[in-house]
Amino acid sequence: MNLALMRKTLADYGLIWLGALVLLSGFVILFVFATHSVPMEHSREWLQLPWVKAFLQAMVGADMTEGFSPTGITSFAFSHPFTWVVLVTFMLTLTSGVLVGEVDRGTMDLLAGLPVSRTAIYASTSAVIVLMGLPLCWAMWSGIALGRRAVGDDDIAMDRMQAVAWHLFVTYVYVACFAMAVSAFSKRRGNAIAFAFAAIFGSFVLNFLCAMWPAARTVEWLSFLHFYTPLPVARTGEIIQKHMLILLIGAAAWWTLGLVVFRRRDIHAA
Amino acid sequence: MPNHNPNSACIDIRGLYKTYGKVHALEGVDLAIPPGVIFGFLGPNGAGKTTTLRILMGLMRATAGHATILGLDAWRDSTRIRRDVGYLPGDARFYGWMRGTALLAFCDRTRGATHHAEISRLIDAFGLDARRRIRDYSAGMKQKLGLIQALMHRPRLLILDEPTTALDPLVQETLYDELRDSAKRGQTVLFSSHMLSEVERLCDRVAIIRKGRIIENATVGELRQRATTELAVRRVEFTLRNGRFPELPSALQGGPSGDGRWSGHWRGPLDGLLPWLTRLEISDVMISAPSLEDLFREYYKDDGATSAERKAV
Repeated sequence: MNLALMRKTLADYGLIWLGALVLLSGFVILFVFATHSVPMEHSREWLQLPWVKAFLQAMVGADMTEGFSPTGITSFAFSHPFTWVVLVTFMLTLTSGVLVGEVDRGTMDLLAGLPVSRTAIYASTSAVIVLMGLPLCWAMWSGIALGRRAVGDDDIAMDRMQAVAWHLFVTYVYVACFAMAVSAFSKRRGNAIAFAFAAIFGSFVLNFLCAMWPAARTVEWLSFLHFYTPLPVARTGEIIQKHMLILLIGAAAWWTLGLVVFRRRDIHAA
Repeated sequence: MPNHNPNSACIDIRGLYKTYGKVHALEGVDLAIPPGVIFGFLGPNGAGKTTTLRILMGLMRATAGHATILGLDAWRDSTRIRRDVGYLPGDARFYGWMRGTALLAFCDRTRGATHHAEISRLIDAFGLDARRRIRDYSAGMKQKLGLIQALMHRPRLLILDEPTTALDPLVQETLYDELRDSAKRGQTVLFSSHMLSEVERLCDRVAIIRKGRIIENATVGELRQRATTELAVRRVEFTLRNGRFPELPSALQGGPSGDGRWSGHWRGPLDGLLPWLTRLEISDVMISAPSLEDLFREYYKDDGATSAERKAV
């Protein structure tokens, strides 16, 4: 780890991080307002539509109509497309910017002239990306708490939402480590973004496909979203240890692969 | 640096090869650079200069061969080596959002944050406005910033890839003075350049690389001597009284340079040139040893033959 490099990375991406934080908090507050303003009967009715049911089941990891509750509906904010768009955009901007982005714009040559090992570059930037993700995931929880207070809805169980925020964070770490590995072996930043985005988007497609087409379920484990299930976690308030473990092992595997590649690769002139 | 004999080569490169797919960038480079010298590394674009420097800095891994800096392996021990090396990349790029002072402070922090006085001295010497954001810098200012970050910790070895690019003549002089002072302090300087004049003025030794092979490695004096004895090239200039240019012998190449003046190069023994000149009506004549630039041109006409190979022929 190199503190100077961590500070530099924080300063480099601080503004983007702040933007993502504001967007996520604001979105969740609005989400609580919106769900509170719709009567529960209407929501239940709407959720009975077969395609809506399947779509939501794919996103939150369980049938939302069973044990229908404000907490269950609010957990959908943790896997809402807007949440993913913000998180994935933030992750891809950072992970592609710190390794292949430095190579692409020629600043890696400057770093390579300093007494900082490639392992330290990789570990320091990874640490910053992971640390920045923690407040982002907890901004979701804080947003719900603020929205809940504003609308005066005490039916949302905030203690159970903490487990969902942790689950989101571990999923964030998995995707960030995968994107770091892609950045480590890419020659151009554009290629890294395209490849990582295609893989993440593919995970979403596979996840929906499994919900609509039972034959696809034999390969559902290929999608990281299979192990991200906010609704079952919100119902019990307990972390699904198996899912967390799989995501963490996967993250460690991607991270290590990226490190090995980055330590061995040639750094060409920009 | 532990276990390094101060009298042994500062940089030692043996049989270095680098290939990119089907392209052979380096084909068996051998080079030993003694400590405390200013060493010029010459070659045209694509000759392998930058690839060699990037392998030395641990940015690239050699396909075959071995490179050591201060007794340490350039790839395996690159982090340790960089504590004692200052590096200026060929096309130095920086973080545009930073100010010059912030960038230098960042570099200093990675080196222990103990070089503040030297940074201030270098900022003054190069006349850099370090308070501005780097995105507002001109190419020359960026080059100055790159030089300051390479020089600020007074490294034992300086590796500079075309350091005078974009610098005005006054700043070039400042850089030359800094490099001469560095060499006086016992620091070694390796710099690549296209500017033959600066190599002639500044360097103790010169290596010329062509198509991934070192074709010459000598002192500037030895090179001049070699140009006269081995290549038998001389610069010839004369002015004709009548302005009518005669038919030239095959060993003489060149052309009119205005006002009845002619300039070019003679290849071969002088006893072939002098009788031919006496037959002309000339008002003055000058025959001089070739400049390093002439020599450089000769080498690049020669399809990469090393000095040893030329001797054998």
